[in-house]
Amino acid sequence: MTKRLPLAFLAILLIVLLAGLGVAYGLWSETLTISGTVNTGEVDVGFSGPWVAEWVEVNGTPQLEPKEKDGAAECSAKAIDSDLTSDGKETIEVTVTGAYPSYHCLVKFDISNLGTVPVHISKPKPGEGTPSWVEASACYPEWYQLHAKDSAWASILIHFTNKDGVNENDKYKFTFTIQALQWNEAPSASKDSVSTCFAPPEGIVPELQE
Amino acid sequence: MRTKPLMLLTCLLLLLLGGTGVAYALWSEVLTVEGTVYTGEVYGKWTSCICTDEGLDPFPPTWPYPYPKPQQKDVGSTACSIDAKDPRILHLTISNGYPSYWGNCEVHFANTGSVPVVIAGYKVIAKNFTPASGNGTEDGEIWVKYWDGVGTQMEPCPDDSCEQASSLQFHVEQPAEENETYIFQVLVCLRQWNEDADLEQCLAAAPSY
Repeated sequence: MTKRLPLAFLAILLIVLLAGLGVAYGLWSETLTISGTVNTGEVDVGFSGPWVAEWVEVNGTPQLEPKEKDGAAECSAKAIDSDLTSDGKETIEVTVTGAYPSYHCLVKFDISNLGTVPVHISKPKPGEGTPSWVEASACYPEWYQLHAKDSAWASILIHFTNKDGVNENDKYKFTFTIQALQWNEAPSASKDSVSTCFAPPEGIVPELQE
Repeated sequence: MRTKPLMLLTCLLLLLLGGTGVAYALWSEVLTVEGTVYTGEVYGKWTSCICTDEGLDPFPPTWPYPYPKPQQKDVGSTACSIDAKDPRILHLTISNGYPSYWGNCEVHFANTGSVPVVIAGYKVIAKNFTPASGNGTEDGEIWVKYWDGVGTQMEPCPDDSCEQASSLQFHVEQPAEENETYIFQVLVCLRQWNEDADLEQCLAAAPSY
């Protein structure tokens, strides 16, 4: 008797397992499939340019730098690809040497939407320690909408007078940042604001006398 | 004394002859049932798909963000099609998706087999991402939700109950990466009406394709 009990138990277990297999394999069923693919886009903005213009004010009148004084102050700017994970150039480096009161350097650049998603861009915001005599302006209002492949321009004017208390042989640093946020999660430009981005950038360089 | 074995032999011969006589003389007839069983089929297919994005990007009915809805734009797109070779597969492709891009697709399928079926259930499988637990919960890259009448019985077509309309919603969540491809599957399992089986049993029994 003691030997027959495990044998009977084994037989019952086998029957239960086979019954289980029967349910799993015997059922008729069909699967319908939705095969989904989500391809995401990209938020990517970059600078193009920059373009530099220099002039001086002589007794309050703006004019081109006289040839013999041209080398006294120099202004250069270049765009750099500081984010290798995205397209375009994300930084502009501006260097001014030999600046003196009434010397002007204007750096104009474009902000371009290189991605696939529209963005809202801020105006250039001065960073900490940026002197008040370095000013930025833009053709667009705050949180202007930039569609894919569109561009807008902005500029930085470096110019100080004797009243600004700028030291000789000194070094001044400035930074400006522009934020670009995906269109649907950013503030929008005010409805009353006006963009001049579609017009030629007239007026940012005054009429210069030779 | 010599007559006894002879008697026995005679009786045996008679018995054998008698037996032979029964076998040949009985009248009889055999009736045959020849059986053929044609089995039915459990089969379903997608019949239509309509998505809400036909231009300006749609917003979810319940706006999950603290800021107001922006003005609508045509940035992302959703395309939906039934596989040309296998109507059991429906392709859903979202292009140029971005965080907060949302869509809703109404999908129809039919019992085109010959056996009534019951919708055993559905399963969302995220192939290469973490699915978000809810619309706007931001705990995964993509939120995918399928609504269907689990337990509903569908008679074979052309019965009125042979078609079922369901909806699939998705939402690109904040953790989604740029320039990425996220792949998911939604499996809807139909089982024969008369055998109880849960979703996993249904999926295990279904033919693969």
